[in-house]
Amino acid sequence: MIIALVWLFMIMIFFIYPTFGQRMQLSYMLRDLEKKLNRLKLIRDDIRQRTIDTIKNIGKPEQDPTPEIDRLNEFFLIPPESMDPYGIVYKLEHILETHESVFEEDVRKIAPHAEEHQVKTLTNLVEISRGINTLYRIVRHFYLLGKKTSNIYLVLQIQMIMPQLMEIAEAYRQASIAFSEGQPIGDGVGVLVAAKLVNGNEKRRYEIAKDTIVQEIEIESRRVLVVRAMGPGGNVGRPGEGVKRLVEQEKDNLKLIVTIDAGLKLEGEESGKIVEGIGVAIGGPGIDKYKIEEIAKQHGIPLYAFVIFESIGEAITPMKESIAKAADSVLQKVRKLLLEKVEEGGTAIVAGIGNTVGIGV
Amino acid sequence: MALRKRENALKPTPPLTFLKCSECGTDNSRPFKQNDYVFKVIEDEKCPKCGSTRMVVVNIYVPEKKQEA
Ligand SMILES: [Zn+2]
Repeated sequence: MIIALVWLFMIMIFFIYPTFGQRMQLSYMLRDLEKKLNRLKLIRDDIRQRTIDTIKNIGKPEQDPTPEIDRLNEFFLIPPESMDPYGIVYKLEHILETHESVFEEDVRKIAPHAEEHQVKTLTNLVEISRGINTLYRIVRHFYLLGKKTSNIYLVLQIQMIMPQLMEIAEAYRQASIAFSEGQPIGDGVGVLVAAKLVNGNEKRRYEIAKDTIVQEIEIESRRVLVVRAMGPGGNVGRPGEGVKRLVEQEKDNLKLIVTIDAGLKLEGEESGKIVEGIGVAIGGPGIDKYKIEEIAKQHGIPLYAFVIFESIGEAITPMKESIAKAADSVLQKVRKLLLEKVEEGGTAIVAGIGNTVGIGV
Repeated sequence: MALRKRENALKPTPPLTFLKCSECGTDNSRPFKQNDYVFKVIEDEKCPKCGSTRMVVVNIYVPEKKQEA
């Protein structure tokens, strides 16, 4: 009798144990995820509050901007259909430009007293607030779905990438501080190089595309056209369109197009490391890159690129010393390159890519 | 509450603004103030050396701790 019971018990353990172990693991993972989700929520609320406070401070709206900001936090953008990819770059461009101007217009409305460059920076701030909100919603979706279905593989997927997501969330939080104060961020290093290249030598300046300016300088009797977004408001401009129009205007006088941008480093590499190569160094959705590549090919202009390495966190948080110092070295390299590759009397384009927050002109 | 506690520990170091005097060329730095931006001409602060009130912001960044060589 007792022996039979012991046997029954053993058999039960044998059959139940595997699922039992998995259940234990699942509940442990869910608890871990829940903790991180709570932290994510705190970060989201923190950024939302900072956005509201900054808009109240700078924009001095008559009404409480909170409902408008909550509406913008859920604002979406539907990318174009890619089943038929013909002309998709221009469709995407159209959608992104519309989105950008609508967003900016709405921010201008809720911050009537902000100056033009402050509106740009506030728009960036609202975008960050929206970004963290989306991140939170996605993580919560996987958490709740995993909990509801007790599906360990669903939970496993989100748990695996959770450390990176938390790092991004933390970077968002610091980015919101940087934008609310108007501090330069790591991504701005390309523009910083352009600004330093021009500093004091500007001969002519004009707007070539929306929020994008050209500054003409001369380096040892070589004409250099520096393209960058207009600062000091947070803004990336339209360097693709800018360079395209410049090439159409200058035609075959152009001997070289140089792009300078921040790039994602691999883990273990040092921030502020400078690498150079061939091609167009521009991140983002690829419209600017496409436009420059196309026009450069049409006119047979060589493309040269400088990239300054940084982590994704460093790109959107206040600029670090090593990155700011790298700007000075890139500056020397660009000058050297221009002297080497462009003969006297020739013309070259230098495009500084990145967000201009906190970088003047 | 938990965030507040961690926030203090994680509080990002505020950036410094580096100024160059237009008169004597002296460099000096101070904590970042709102509305500072690179290449802004600042006219309401005094140069610590010559007392001139015209200075240009030449850099804004977060100083890093030097790693021991
Ligand atoms: Zn002085």
